[in-house]
Amino acid sequence: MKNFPLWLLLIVTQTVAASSDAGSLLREVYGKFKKLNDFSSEVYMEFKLPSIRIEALKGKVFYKSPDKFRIRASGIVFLPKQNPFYTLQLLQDPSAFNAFNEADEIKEGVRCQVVNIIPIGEQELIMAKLWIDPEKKLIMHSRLTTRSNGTISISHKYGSLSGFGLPDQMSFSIDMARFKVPKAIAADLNSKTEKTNLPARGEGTILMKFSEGKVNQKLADSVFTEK
Amino acid sequence: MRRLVAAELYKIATKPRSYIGFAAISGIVLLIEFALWLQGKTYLQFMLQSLEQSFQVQGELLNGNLVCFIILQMLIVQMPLLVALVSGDLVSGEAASGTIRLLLTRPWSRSQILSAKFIAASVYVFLLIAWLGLLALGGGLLLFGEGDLVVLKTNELVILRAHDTLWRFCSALGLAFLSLTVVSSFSLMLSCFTDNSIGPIIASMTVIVLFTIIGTMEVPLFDLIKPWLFTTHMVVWRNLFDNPLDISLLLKSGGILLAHIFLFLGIAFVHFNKKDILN
Repeated sequence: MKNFPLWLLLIVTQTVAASSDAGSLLREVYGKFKKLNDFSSEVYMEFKLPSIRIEALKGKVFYKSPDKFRIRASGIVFLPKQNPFYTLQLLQDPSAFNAFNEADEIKEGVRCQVVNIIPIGEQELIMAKLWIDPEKKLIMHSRLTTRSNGTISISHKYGSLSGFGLPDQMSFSIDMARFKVPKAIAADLNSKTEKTNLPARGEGTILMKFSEGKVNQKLADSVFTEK
Repeated sequence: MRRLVAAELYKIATKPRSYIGFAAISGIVLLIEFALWLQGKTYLQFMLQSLEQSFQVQGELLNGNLVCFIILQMLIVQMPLLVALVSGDLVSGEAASGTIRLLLTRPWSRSQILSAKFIAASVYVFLLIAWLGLLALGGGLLLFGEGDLVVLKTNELVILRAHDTLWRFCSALGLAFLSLTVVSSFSLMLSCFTDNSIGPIIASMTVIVLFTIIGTMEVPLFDLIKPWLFTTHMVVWRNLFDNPLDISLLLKSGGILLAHIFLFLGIAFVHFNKKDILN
């Protein structure tokens, strides 16, 4: 107990150091994304969702700073509730969250600095955990814990637009309930009820591959509203 | 033979009951389309609410393809009654009205006469199915537009791209034609055994309802007989909306339906050729 004040001082100092270290890394990560005013590209979407059979589809993606986002596709698509650049947008206002480091981890074959983000005040996002490549200042992986949509994990792969912090490929893993409706409602009266041991929930994956990306082309706002 | 078929078609066309099917299909299809036009989005939201908790579902879910699928799902099962109403009357109706003796004095064999009646019944079934397809798919696309098809199953959701649906609907209607031809050959067979037209119509419907109940009930005892009931295979058109397709199942069911047609027609031909015409 004699050493108590020293011990406390050590923890406080380390926490402050970790927090300022994490904060500066996040600022550098966001610094790349900040250069982006708008973005458009072709997108190829692949879906692996439990109890849903849906073919891959191509479309076009549009983004305009700070938070306008749209995917234009000719058919039905399942998308994450948050837009794909939500994690980067989150870093825009450093006063809106607390950030602190965790021990480094290897993710996507890269030694990453792990940063936890906890928003200040009551928000949809409870916590975000980011795996950041400290050399390239790029988010390699993120895990968002939200109030209404559970946990979403996102893997990022980078290519030609990494200078803007934009990935070429994103893979979203989403916790979801298996699709199930009564026979009478689905009007599927002759189907046989299969006794399966599958859990009520499963993990669905949505893969987005961006190509032919164009940045800062001065996208019109109408792109996000027109049919 | 062509003149004989034309004469049979003329007989069908002059009977008011032949139009009940077309009127019923028109009324039901338009009613479903109107209901879906008014509240279809609410119905879909209810169905997909569990998914919308995890995802943002983008795209026009309520479209002509889905409307057509819902209509086929509801109507194809009910259509045997409309078919039996006409084909159950083809032989027995003539016996009841006394025209069968006159018909058999004509220079046609009994087999030719029965064949002409079966062909005429098949033409009627074809027209009924074509009318259903026109109203359900044509009307659906006209009112709701084109889009990907969401096939709702009890524990699965299949989404088919819009360009991949037309051939499936055409094939489904083709399979529905085969299924209803089983019904028409069955009621034609029953029609050869009686001298009043109500009997074959009611008997056909009773058998179909009974078989459908057996097919719907999940009792292990019935599992042995289900594969042999033609009603089990009458709903196989739904499997055309699977991805990937179970070709062997479709071929097997198509084969069983064809076998039923040959069986019922075989019995009908044997009996009609040997039958004493007493009235």
